[in-house]
Amino acid sequence: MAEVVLDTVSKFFGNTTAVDGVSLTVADGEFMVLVGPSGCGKSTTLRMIAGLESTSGGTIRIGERDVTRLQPKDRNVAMVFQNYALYAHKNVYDNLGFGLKVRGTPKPEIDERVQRAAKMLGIDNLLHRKPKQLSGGQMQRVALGRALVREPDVFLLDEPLSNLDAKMRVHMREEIGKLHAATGKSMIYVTHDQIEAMTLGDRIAVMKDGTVQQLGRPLEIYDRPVNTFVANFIGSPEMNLVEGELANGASRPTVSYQGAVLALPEGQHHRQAADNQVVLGIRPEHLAISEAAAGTIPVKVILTEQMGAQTLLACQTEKGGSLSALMSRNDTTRPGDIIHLSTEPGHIHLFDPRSGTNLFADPTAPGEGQP
Amino acid sequence: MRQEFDVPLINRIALYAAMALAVAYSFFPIYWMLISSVRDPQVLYNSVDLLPGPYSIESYTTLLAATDFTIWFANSVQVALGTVVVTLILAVLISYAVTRLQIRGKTTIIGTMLYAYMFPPLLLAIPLYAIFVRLGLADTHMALIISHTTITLPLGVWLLWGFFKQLPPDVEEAAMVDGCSRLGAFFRVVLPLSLPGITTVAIFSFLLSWTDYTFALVMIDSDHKKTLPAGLETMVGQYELRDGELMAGSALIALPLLILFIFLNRYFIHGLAAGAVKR
Ligand SMILES: Nc1ncnc2c1ncn2[C@@H]1O[C@H](COP(=O)(O)OP(=O)(O)OP(=O)(O)O)[C@@H](O)[C@H]1O
Ligand SMILES: [Mg+2]
Repeated sequence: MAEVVLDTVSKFFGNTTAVDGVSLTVADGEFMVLVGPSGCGKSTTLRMIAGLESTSGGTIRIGERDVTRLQPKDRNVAMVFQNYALYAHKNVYDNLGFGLKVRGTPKPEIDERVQRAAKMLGIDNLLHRKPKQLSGGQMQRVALGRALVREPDVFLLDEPLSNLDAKMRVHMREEIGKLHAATGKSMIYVTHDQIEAMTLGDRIAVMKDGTVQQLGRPLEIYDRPVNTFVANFIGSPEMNLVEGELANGASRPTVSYQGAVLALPEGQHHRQAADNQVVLGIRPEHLAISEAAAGTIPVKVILTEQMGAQTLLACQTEKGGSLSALMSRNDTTRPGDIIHLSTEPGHIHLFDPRSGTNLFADPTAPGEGQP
Repeated sequence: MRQEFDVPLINRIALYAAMALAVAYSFFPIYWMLISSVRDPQVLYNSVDLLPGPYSIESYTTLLAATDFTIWFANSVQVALGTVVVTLILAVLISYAVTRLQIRGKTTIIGTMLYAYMFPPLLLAIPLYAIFVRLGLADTHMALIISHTTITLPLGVWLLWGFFKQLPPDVEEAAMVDGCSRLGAFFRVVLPLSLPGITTVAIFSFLLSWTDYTFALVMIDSDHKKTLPAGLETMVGQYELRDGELMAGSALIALPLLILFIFLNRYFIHGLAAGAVKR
């Protein structure tokens, strides 16, 4: 049993605040993904959990132990590094067995565990190679194997797939998912790739400027982003964020965007914004082409991107606002066409134009949302 | 391979001829030393043949029998190995500390160390000797080891610094997460990965110490404490000038260097650490 608890953990490098009071509980066996743009403090957070970086404030607990001041070797965690960090002077077998050997595990047991991990990862035929005789994908497997052999309380992975090509990345992503299922151990996984985050994570912590913006299950975050940053970061292509104005229609609340009046969901209370000015968010996949009617947005198609199964339309409103719409394959719409876009009330997000926070009453707040 | 075809034959011949000439020019004295050392001393002065003969190892036997050559040889080995050990320990510690720890102005510190090379050895030797006299170290091998280290250390630190810099810190961190202390990671991962660099420093420290004449001359007075180059020099004065034995002595000094050079070829500074890390 090893849950990982971060309690208001901070890290300062001189004047730089890399991590700013992060509190996070990773349940035993949970796959937690830390995601965010470059420099948001993901790696630093992970390295503090590993003990490779000291904390400037706060405490870290693994299971029942307060590990805040412990050496990396005493924390019983395993880490997979972005550039693999294999021991170049040792062959694959010794790379895998190193952690056990250092801890004085008897040879037969080392052998058994190395062989088992190597089989699991399909590298049992490479055991006598040196790291420089391996491909990137193979090195990645060895790095994973080295962590696996240790049977640690927690696995820490820092962008383990970012050096692989696109195809290999998808493949290894699945493998890591399977490994997590097979070991049942807690994993904390750092990435800046929101697709990795969505597909792998039991829960995701979206970070920015050293703070956790939102913590929750992937679809929770997708459906109810707490602010414009999260809304923009999670989901691809990015959410359309445009200026709108709130109004109270005859029967239900509405929001107008450049003359188009869009209905808001009934019965959902949203906080009031100053001057009724809001940021209106609609995901591209939630815009569809429809007949000209009230509640639709007339736009001109600027560009069509064919992605095979789907088509992405880059559009422009009369007043110059841009919107993108994602739909299943569409061969008929051409650049220059005038079309009407519609959406459903439930797919509209409203944000405060100044703070960027979600105006609907119950977006998942940071810290909520247990697995 | 492909390129060789592009070079006209005549150019290639010229190139090889020039190379052969250069090689002959550099190696002729060594060749002359070798053949003279195995030539019968009787004919040493009347034969100017490029080929040796009549052969005789008399020069070697007289050298070993009549002089303190074996003692000097042992002294040289002792001093050179001492220099290697002291240089390695200090250079590894200093350069590792400078690489991994946050030290203000570390580039300046190392740069300053290299200024030692701007002075001719004799300029360093005389004040050093004065210091050793004060410390009671004059005329000891320790004095010689320390003075050789003043020359080998800056270069050693410089070389290993470059080496440690290009070792990715991740590898050490991986070892620390895997169960090593910082020191353990250093011994189990950093040192083995730096072996080519360490070997190079060891070899050139040995060379510098083995061939040093200036410091040996200044620091050591007693004949039985002399190292080979200085010892051989006393031979010239003590006995009447004997070319055969001198050549034999020089050949024996060169022998360990030759062996070292063969090893030197096998170690390249780069290579081992590359490939561990995907860049
Ligand atoms: N050793 C260090 N010294 C000084 N500043 C540092 C150090 N390590 C990280 N930082 C700073 O801390 C902040 C967070 O860095 P961190 O490496 O955690 O970001 P990250 O989220 O992992 O980014 P990336 O996706 O680019 O890896 C950055 O502003 C970075 O410049
Ligand atoms: Mg990072």
